[in-house]
Amino acid sequence: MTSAAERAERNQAVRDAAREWRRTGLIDEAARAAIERAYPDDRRRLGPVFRDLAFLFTVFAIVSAFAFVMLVVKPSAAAAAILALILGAALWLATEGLKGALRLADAGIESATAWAGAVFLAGAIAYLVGEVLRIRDPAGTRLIALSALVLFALTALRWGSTVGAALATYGLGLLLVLFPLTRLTWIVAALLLVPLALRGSESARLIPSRRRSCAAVLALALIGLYVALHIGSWDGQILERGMLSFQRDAWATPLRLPRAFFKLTTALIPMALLAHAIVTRRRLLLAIGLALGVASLITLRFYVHIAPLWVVLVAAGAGLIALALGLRGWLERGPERERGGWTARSLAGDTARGRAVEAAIAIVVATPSANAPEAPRFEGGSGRSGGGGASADF
Amino acid sequence: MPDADAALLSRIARSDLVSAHTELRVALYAGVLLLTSGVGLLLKDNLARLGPLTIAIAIGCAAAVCFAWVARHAPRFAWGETPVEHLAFDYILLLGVLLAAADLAHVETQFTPLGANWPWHLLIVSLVMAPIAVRCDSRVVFSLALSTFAAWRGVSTSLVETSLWRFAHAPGALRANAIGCGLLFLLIGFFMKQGERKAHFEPVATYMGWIAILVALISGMGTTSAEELLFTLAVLAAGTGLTIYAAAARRFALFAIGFLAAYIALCGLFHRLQPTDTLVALWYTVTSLGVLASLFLAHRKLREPQ
Repeated sequence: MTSAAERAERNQAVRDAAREWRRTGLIDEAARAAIERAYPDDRRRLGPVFRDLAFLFTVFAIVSAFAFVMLVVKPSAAAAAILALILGAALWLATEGLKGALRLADAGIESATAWAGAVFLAGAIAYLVGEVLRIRDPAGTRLIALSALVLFALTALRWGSTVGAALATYGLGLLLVLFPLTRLTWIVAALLLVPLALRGSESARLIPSRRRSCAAVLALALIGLYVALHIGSWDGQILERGMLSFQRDAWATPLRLPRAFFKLTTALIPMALLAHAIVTRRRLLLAIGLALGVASLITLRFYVHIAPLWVVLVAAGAGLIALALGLRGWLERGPERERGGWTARSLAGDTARGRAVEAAIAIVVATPSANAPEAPRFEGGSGRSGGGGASADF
Repeated sequence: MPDADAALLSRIARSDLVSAHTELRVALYAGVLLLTSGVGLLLKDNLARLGPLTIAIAIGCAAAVCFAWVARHAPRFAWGETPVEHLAFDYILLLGVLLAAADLAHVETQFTPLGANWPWHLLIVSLVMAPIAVRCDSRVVFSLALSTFAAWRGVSTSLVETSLWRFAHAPGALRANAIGCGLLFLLIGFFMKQGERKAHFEPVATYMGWIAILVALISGMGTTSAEELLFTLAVLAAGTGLTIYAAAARRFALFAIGFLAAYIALCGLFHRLQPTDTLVALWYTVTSLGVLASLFLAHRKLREPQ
């Protein structure tokens, strides 16, 4: 990324923060305008709706153009792969031009060309490896996985793509599955990545998009660590059994750990994460800890039949509500309405998007089954009737 | 900037002060959904063991407790947007509404007071939810009231894919119902905005209305019959009209919905010409590039905020 693009991104982050403060009422309009003047924007940006449409139609145009060329030229398999390689490289060059000379940022087009470039390059390499060069497994699959990992990592490093960073981390996990000692390598890789990504996600030296990329890597590394140390994955030997045919025999792990160790780690990892997040006030770790905690509770329900499912759901729901109410009250009663640097107050002014998501979820999850016009008659006990989420298949 | 505000901003920037507001809201919402899911299973699996009356009374009592809590914390009524003091207000209200609706459905299923007219309980639920939503200023409950009304008319607004599938296998009455519901929702939204009666609910009604209308019309599109051509032209007209209105009103999400609908209709008309694969690929390349150019031109005029 060029220094001008980096400066533009930092300025954008400041302007975003100023808008947030304005919505919260912490600054007035004059202060916001002054901040915008002090941190000007030299990029061409689109708003969120136009950006999404531009992304969609750029991808559409690229794929259609490639299909058109294929239909007209009717190339051989090798020539098609080489054409895809050329197109991928051209798209990446175009991304450079769009972000550099044309100064596009958050416009949808440049993200689409970067993404499509990576996908065409990865697809072409996979085709060349498998069908043209005929490199057999396991080397072929490893080569394809490695190339995809590198390509996605490049989109993250060069253009600050958070999704690229997440896919590269995911690709690393998949690549390690293609080698022996998967569980061990997952644990080691996660333990190496977590501190690095944590530092990166908070480093002021990195631009915001790279910090977000580090946060994505951190989240996936923690999830990977949890999976590698999860009792269910150990019992099922999901990392030892392998997912591909060439792995079946040789992947047995030398780890001879007692089953109790995995029980303990399944319970302790979420708790340790939560405790660390609360003490160090890290919301990302809090969210991951909560998600993994839910996963551990579901695991517990899977192994230990505590009560019928409806009792578990009702108790979990009531417990969650009571916990949230209790926490809110506890934080509110603290001095200055906060405790240990945490507050229940909203520090972000705009919750409109969150409320729209809540409404959408309510419509999807809690709306009763539609009454089909041709429904002949009521059938008692069928459970098809229901109001406000009351139907049996709700 | 006052020193106190500057100090607060500085604490937020350094992460010395962190808000758990979103996490608490998510926990409350997840709690409501888990609890109501559990109640759904209870209704389905435990009728014989616990007895329908016991279950009806238990759920009714739980709903009453929720409404009592809501009554204690409800803000004063106003036709405008009313700020709620308590973080949990919306969620306890939603829980009460969902439990009451589940109870009503259970009573209807077990004791059949409406007999063959059982679908009418959906209308009753919808008509009860709407004033509660207005009184308590809850957009979530308002959207549920609209989607439950649509469900009464046989229109599932919950899943578009399901809707499309249902349209493909259901009589034209279903499509007419969807268009009717959509028009009604648009009217409700219009009068709310014009009359300044909970005007901030208007987007909920408008978006649901347009989606119902356009999905119903698109489901009738095809490449063979004259009736399918009529539907295609109707989608083109509705999509274009919505795009023009949304651009004038600077309502960008509506603009996207109308724009996509118009594009789908245009492509539908093109496919009626039975083009070859090469022409299809060329069509999508050229039109996508044309759309991109027009999007940038439109954005220069409209300037959608970041």
